[in-house]
Amino acid sequence: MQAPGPQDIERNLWVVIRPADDVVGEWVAHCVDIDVCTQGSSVRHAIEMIVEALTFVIGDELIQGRDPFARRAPQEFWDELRQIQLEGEFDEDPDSAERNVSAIVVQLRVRIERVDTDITTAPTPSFAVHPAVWKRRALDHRRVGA
Amino acid sequence: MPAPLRRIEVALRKYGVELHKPKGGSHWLARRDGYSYPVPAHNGRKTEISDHYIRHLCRTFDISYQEFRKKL
Repeated sequence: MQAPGPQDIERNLWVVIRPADDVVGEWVAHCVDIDVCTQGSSVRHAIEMIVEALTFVIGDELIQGRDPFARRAPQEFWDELRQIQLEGEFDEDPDSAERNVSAIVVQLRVRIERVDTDITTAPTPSFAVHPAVWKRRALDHRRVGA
Repeated sequence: MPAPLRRIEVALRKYGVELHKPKGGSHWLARRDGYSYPVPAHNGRKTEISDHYIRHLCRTFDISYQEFRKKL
């Protein structure tokens, strides 16, 4: 990534990923900073899906003249995030997280290049998974798909 | 209980929320009153949508979850 320009935005976004209770093999991802939810067929796919969902929402909010970062999730979801961080284990390997976990917290870093405040076309944010924030919680040791 | 996307599409329409299929990507877009929300559609209309997601969707559009479930 290049250094941000004067009108660029860079933010860290917290995402909570959980195995879906009711759809075998699916993982539900919820970004609490922008309150967007989606799902995918693996942890990696769920991350890809939340990136795509966030790309759309951020672009759409900016075009509508709204602040996408004003869409924070309700406090209960932040409390849940904090609880997972407090009780979870640290693990940098996303693939190992698919075994025996009940929730994962990952942090995305988003960069939005803004060349003009009067936006008429959606900007394309760029995302990176923060290199050192994988957390996992192995409380119920559920084996997804078993 | 999960629900396939095709049933969610029908139920949302009853609340004035329309689903749009963009040219690319794995999401459809639920729109109402200038607000949009992405809906996972990686298996098209057959995508089984988790109840966890459905709750978020209802909250976003200020729809009663209990009422919405009755329409699925």
